[in-house]
Amino acid sequence: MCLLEACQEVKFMKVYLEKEQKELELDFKDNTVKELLKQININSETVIIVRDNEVLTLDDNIENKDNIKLLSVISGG
Amino acid sequence: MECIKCKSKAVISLQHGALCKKHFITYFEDKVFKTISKYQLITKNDKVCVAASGGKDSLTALYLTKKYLQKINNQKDNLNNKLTALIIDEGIKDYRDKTLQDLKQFCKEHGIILKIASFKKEYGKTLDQAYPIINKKTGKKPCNICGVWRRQLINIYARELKATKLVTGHNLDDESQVIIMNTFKANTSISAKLGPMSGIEKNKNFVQRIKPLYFCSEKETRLYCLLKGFKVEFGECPYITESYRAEVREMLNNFEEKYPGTKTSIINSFLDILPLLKQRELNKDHKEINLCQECEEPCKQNICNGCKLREILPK
Repeated sequence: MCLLEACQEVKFMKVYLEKEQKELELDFKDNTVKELLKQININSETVIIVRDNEVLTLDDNIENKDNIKLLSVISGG
Repeated sequence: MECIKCKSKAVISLQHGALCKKHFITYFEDKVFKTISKYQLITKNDKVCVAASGGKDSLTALYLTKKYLQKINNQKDNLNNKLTALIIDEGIKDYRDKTLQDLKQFCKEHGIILKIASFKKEYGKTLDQAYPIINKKTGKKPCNICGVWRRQLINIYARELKATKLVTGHNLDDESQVIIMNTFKANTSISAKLGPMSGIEKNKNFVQRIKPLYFCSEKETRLYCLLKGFKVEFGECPYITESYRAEVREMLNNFEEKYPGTKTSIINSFLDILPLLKQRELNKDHKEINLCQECEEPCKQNICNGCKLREILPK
């Protein structure tokens, strides 16, 4: 396998932040939602965590290939 | 994580255990209905106006007020003479126009009459137009103008609709933040106006405000909207400036994450002393409530703050 092919196989986790309207791509090496929130420094009280159409709780396992959305629970004024 | 009731996949972990979609929806609706009945927020003869913005809190308050009215009235009764949604269109470009469309759609889908009041119609100018003029003469910030006019119009329209109760979407987070802010600034007299049924004195020209979501956190309400399929998009008012509240919110969320139940405890401790605070305010020598000479709104001077702001604008 050439180096280029090896690079293409690396999958990053996509995390969409609703409030900031931006998507993060990160290499997630831990296991749970709780660890993800800790890594990106987001308080679990301020977001609903969704994978596809499934609502996740803090101890749910997630992987690098997942698309995660963090919906903001705070109203904007 | 499994639901404590049925072992299905949980959607939320609460202080007393985790719940699945079905049991969370039941838990949330029961909590709102218990709040309404415990504090007698709505009774059978009430005519209810819901102050709505199209955001998560007001959509939930509107939907569950309708459901509660259906529960206490004959299901077949037409609720049109008992329930109206009211939105104030301040005229904030790229913000209110979007939530107004969401609310129109929601009311259409749920068969709820929607009344729209606007700053443009009532004051001759949108907030976007009025703010620079008033700010130049008084230094007032947009939220000070908007808040006064919104409160004035909500009460005037609710009165015109002959509403006996006015529902707002204030939730556990809003209330616990205000209690802490008032405590930190020693504004005890202002806190006396809080509670599920707000205000201290009754006045026939003032429609009683009630908060059915008093014990619901923002997180619970956002999840309820998501699970019920209500269209709620995050939008931020372009004028938002709330540094002190934002700091208090962050502090309370940090405490809640570390010590679950903190916000509910703040509310419950406050409710224990609230009757004493209200009584203390009633015992004080205070000014009689007048009616504004311009709009007949209850106020402490001859002209209310809303009409004073209107007079600043060119005729």
